[in-house]
Amino acid sequence: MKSTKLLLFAFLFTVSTCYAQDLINLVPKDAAFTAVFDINQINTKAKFSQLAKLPVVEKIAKGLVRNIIKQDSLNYLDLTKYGIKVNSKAYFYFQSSDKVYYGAMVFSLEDEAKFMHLAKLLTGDTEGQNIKTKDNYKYAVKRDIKIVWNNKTAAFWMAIINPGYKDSVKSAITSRYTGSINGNNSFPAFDKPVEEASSTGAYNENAIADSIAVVEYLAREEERVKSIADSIAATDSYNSNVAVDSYNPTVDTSNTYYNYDTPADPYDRMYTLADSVSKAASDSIVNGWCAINSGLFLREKGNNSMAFNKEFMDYVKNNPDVAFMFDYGLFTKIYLKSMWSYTMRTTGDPYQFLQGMYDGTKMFAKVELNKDDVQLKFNMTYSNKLAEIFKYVKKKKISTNFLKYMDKDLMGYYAVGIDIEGYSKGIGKMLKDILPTIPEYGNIAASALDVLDIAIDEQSLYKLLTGDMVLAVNGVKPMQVTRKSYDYDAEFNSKEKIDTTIQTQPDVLFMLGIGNINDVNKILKLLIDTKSLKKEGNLYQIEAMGSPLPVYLTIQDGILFIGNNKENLAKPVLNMPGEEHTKLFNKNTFVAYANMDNIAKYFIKEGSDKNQKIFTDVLGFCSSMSVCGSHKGNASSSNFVLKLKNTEDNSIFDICKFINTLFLIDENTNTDSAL
Amino acid sequence: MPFAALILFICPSCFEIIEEVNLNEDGSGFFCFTINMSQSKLNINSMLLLDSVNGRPVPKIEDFKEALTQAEATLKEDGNITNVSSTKNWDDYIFSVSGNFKNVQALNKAINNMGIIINKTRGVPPAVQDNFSYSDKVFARLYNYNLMNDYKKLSEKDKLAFTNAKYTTIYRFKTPIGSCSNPDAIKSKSGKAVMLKINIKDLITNNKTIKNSINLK
Repeated sequence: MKSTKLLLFAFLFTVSTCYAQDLINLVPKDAAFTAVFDINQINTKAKFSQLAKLPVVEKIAKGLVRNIIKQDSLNYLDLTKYGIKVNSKAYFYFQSSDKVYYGAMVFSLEDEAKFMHLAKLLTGDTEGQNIKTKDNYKYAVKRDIKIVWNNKTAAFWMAIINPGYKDSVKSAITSRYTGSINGNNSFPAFDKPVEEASSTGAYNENAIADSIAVVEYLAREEERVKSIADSIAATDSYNSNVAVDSYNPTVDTSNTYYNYDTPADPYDRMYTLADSVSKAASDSIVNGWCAINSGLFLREKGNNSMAFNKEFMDYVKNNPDVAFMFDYGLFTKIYLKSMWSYTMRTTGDPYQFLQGMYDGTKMFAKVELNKDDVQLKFNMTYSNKLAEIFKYVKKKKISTNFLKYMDKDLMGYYAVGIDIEGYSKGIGKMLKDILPTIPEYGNIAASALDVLDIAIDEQSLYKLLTGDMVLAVNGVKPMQVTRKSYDYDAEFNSKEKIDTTIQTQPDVLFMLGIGNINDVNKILKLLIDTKSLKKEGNLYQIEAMGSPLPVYLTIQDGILFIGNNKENLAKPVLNMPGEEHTKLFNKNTFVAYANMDNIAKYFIKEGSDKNQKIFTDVLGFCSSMSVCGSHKGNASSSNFVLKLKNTEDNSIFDICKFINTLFLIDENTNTDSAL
Repeated sequence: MPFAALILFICPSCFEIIEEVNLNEDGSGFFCFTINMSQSKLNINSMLLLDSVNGRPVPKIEDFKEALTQAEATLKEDGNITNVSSTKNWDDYIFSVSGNFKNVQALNKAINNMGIIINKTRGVPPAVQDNFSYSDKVFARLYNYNLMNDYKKLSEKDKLAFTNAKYTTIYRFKTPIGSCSNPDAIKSKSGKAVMLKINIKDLITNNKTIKNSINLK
């Protein structure tokens, strides 16, 4: 996190005077994540110099810089004097190898000598004793802060061990150490590292560095571990106190990994030791990798650079303020490696299937910082496997008929149009592909699906509903509530009476487009017969949904209505939402919309003092939020729009001011609490 | 008072507690305690859909049902009360429990036992003390609870739950009432019953009390 913050900070506060060459040639073509920031455009819109004066920015900057720069901290906002010439575009990328994950923020330099001063401050090395020079670049490292630079370019970078590889190292070390207790206390020789050809660059150097680091580290530990194992084996008993008492290994006290207050049980002790050694070995691997590869981040990649990635270059050709490319397949692989256990990774075909399903799926995103709105646009292209699964899916429109029943003053809604037939076929295909790969019961489940296909009239199901639906909160409305109270006679004997009061409640409405009304009526009849529904005139009350709220249901206008407003269920409203919603329904297959004005007004009335302040601020900040998009075949796109209230400033400046206000509210609340 | 536990659980915005005791001359009698949250039923319904309200977890309706069933079972089993009956209206959130007692000591024991059961679900120790006394033709409603400190700890939002809440006590006797110590109490037309209606917030903040000493002629 520290290095991430550092990168972010360096990015924000060192960019205001920079114009230089494009650094895209330094970014590898196959990076798992790439981001480009058009600093010049952002700076023009956001006015960094003014942003820096906001208390929240000032506090974050001061805290951050003071932690890493012990001297010169008063100049924290003016890093331009450190020789950084931020390019009109700066890049961040993340890459993964089998053994190490690494990433870098690359930017241009104006004055190498001045930048070296910054590097010294950041690494706490005022004399520059730890700055190394290699080939044509210099590098400095202090724990998480890793910097590399030459006379025109610099990079803040990071590297961590790949969790999957870390697991493998740990597993090997654990079985080796614990195995030595079971009478096999002669340690087999470590395998020699596999030396790969290093002539083509850093990627092959990685493999060598990793292998050497592991072997060298373990070799250093060999004698010590062996002596411990010998002493344990000599006791003939795992519970012998002799072994515990005589347990006095030579300890390198400078090494903080080891905790010798370990349990008496030799197995536990060896597991603890194996854990410590594997942690140290992992660090050793990363350190070895870093020592060899610091130059990687300044090396032009030629044909292997992102400049030769056509998809990316096409996506950024209109110079967005910020753009990202995300290799979804690769990140799925990383996620699965990190989150799934070693056993699951090595035994399950479903693991391979999931990896394969997303392999090649890419997500592109761009940010547009306009005057009165911020737009975040996503495009996703599917892998061949996903494309095969979703190839039947057609774009399903959301009926604008729903809008007749939605109030202009609503708080929000979620509308979706699903091609039921397309998705059913796709998901069915996916299940049929994946189920047989699951050990033991997979084939049975797949066969069961086949039987279901025979038994069910799929076409009837597809035609039952149209596939479009809306869940809307039509505002908070007064609703008549009956309550029981008591009248008392002259002798105070009570008699129950019914009063009516008006209370405000969220008016929640769910609407589903009906395809075949005859079939829907059959289902309703069944629900009435099973006493799940109770008929009241044209309305049905749902009785067996497990919901304590009264819920009513009715059918009208080809729509199934479900809601809690009994009086107005299925009654067209006088004030429908505006034309923009008709367009959203027509263009997209899903729309989520929040009317921030109405939500804020509600919470200002109902919330706590702090919430009231926050929502008062929201009221002056933004008017609505929406996410919409569509999916068809092998691609999907979506668009997040935050619409802001009209101000003189650009949206990014407004957002920062809003965050600043929240920060001040929080600060004041904390101060009040302390008092 | 055991119903207070329920109220603190869900903090409905408006509710009423009705305490009725019909006392015979020999000290035996009939009691009926009712809690009516029907005015807040929409709020309660909404709250029961949530996991937490005002930062506190919302118990499940099954928890209430279990606590009430246990309380009723305790009343039936401990022998202090006979003819125990209860009504549970989950649509309007009105609950009542009634029965006959041999003397007010038995009634006190029964109330305390119920309090123990209900408070168990909240994980707090119950306040065990007598609520009624009767001797020498003096019937007294005792009240020595100090809820002020607990009330102060509540958030402003939680305190609102008690703003419109009411506590009503009705005591009926076979003989006419001579005098009542509580100035807010009113006598019935026949002079054989007394009713006291106060705001629960006033009760908690000690502005008013349900303490009442009734001298019978």
